[in-house]
Amino acid sequence: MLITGAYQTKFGELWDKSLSDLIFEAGSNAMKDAGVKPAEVDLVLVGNMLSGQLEGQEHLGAVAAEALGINQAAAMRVEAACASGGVAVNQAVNAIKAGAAKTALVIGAEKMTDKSSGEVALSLMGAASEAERQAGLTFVGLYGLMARVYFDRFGLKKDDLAHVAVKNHRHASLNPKAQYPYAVDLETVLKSSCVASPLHLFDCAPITDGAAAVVIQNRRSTSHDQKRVVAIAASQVATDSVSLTKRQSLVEIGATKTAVKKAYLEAGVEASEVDVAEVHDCFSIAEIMAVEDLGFCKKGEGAKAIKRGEFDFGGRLPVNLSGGLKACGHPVGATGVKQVVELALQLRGEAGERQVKGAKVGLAHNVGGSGGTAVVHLLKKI
Amino acid sequence: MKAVSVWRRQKTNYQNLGIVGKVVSKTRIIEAPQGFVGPYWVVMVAAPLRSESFEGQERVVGQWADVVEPKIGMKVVGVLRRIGEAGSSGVIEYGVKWKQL
Amino acid sequence: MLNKFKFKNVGVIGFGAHVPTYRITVDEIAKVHEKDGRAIAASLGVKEKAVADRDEDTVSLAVTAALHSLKRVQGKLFKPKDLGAVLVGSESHPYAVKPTGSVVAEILGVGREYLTADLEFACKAGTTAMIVIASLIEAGLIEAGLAIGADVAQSRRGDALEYTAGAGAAAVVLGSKKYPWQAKFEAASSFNSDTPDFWRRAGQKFPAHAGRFTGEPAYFAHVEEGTRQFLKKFRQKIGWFNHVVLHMPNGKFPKKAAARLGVTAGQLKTGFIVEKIGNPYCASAMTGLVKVLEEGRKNQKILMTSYGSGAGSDSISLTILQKNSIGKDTDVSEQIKKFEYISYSKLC
Repeated sequence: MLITGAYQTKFGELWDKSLSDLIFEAGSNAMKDAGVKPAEVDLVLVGNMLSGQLEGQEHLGAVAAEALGINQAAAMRVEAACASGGVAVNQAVNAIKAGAAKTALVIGAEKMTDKSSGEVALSLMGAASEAERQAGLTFVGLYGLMARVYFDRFGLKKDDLAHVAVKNHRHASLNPKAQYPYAVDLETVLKSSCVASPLHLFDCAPITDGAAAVVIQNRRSTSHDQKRVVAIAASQVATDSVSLTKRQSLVEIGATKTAVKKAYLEAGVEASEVDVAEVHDCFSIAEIMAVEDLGFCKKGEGAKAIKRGEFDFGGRLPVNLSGGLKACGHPVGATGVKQVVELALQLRGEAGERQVKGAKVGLAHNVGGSGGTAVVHLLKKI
Repeated sequence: MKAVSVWRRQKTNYQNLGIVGKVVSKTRIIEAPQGFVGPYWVVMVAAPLRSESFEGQERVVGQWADVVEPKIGMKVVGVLRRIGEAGSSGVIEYGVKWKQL
Repeated sequence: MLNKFKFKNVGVIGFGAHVPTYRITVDEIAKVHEKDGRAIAASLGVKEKAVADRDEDTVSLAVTAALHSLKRVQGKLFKPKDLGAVLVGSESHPYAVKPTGSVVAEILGVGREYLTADLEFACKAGTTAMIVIASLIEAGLIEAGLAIGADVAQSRRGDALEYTAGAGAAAVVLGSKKYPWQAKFEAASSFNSDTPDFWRRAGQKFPAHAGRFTGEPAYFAHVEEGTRQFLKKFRQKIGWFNHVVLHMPNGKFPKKAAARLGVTAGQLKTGFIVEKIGNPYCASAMTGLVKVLEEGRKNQKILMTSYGSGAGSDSISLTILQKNSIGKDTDVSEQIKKFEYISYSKLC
């Protein structure tokens, strides 16, 4: 299973780009990167969460096929809240494994800035349960509830969260495609206003427009330049209850642990062998739990490890060199695909200023909602 | 029309009225989404109260309806309040919010 | 026999009230209008009023009071489904069409087989609900019924009513001899006329009133004459009652009416609640009654006269049979003590 083409649009407030424009830019550039013509694509998957709610557009598979001039391929939308992109990649892998497709184009795309932040906040609550919506729990509030329990359990304080944003912004300053390609200092993060306690503005991913796409082919289908091809060694999806109240624990994301365990097994890889990772930092607390759930450090040690620089560019396991969701931006459906694109760049040696030397194994971690869905991909340099 | 879904939810909206529970987590929503007026506290409550630990116990989320701040471990009781925003012409929905016991 | 409600088979089997937690002082309101709060408080005999939170309304207040009243019902026999009628009196029913009674009954688990329709008679609809339910029980047509007076009073900004228009609910469960009585529900009469002292037209958000006309020709005429008519019909003397509860639109009117009726300060004291909570309209006299039932002693007699603008008065007499407390913090006196001040700007 190979990634033969990868592309990410600029992420940000892209006022002059519609959702179709973003789908077109990502899809056509990924195909070009793969040296693949539209007629050769037999499966198009579009990862997207909010197009229906925000602009009344459904049927994105057909929309993408039309925009890209891909006739007669199977095309459909994949939705799993913020894990839509990662799950779309997973579904393409499964389809190819099953022999139902040979050349898949996976696009993750989201257009969020046409509506007010209040409307977008309301629509993002669609990732939660009905009871959580009734209680007025915003997405931030859900992670706020988890953060509160995590603080009490592990003695963490609100200020300890700040190092996540500082790290990810520093990484983003090396990524021209990021929404915020600049560093921020600790004081700015600490002074930011509360959104849902204990999470403050800089603990939260922004609202972003953007798209990313990959072309996935099985070995037999491609005669592409082998240097620019990366292997998908594992693709695993796991689910947990949509309701936070039905989880076994509030200080971890169970679906992450399940997915990554399956992924390590499938790829024959251990946590210690991962050279570079893109994890789901929708909120600072999410990255802290992620590095623990993915086995990069012990439970309860995540914040300390981040503070010590273990996950910095130049550290023992660079995490979120793209800038993560926080600083690269989080166009919801696009993120999971962007993470795979970023890893592909790293493993190809094309990551420019943020290149991890000799990166061989990459891990992408994408989560839906407060942990209802988790997707883990392991990529290997060939 | 929201009327039907409000009616259907009557079956479950009042379940925790008068039930005693314990606060296991809380968050103060400063940036309220459309349809809500912030700021307000949302709590996660282990209810009905059966033991001291909340692991594995039934939990619910709901808005806070007291003048004092919720604290982790606080004993609380479910009270009836308006929920949602019916506006001036919609069907009003009632549900359970939480208050210190 | 006209309008002489004598009951032999009706008792109070449960009672409870809900005073909302927020308070706003007369002073705080006066400051906004650049008036002398102290003088106004003195002239009204009211210091502060209880107001509802943003998410409270007549239904939520009514349910809360009703739950207190149902908790007080003794013995194992009674279930909410035994209620044959649920009547809510209010001048702030959330809907003009769709009865508060059915929403309240649904939430309380009364089931499907009960009688309900909403009552409106300004501040006296709750006491009228009591008389109607008592009558149904006396006639042997139902065995138990729930009467509630509940309001979230509205007043226009800058109107004198702002200082006293409050919120609250009181609930009384009446039952036949099948259930243990905590008080005898003995007699009632009603005294009404068409007197336009205070009204609210359909579709209007705020009420209008006729200023000083709300005094002598309205409140006093009906409270005094209504009470006198009651005493005459049932051959009673005012001095025979240990407790007298009158509708309390402010702290002055009931004291003046009491003096004229020969009611002593001692008789008025227990049920006199307006100074700290203002006027919760349909819950005014009824909350005073609940407080008397909570604090009174066995064999003590109670006379309550309510007043509703438009206008009319219900007079009801009861005798306490026993004391019962379900938990001190739900008693009216405790609820009056537990409160939190809010500012005018925070007032929804």
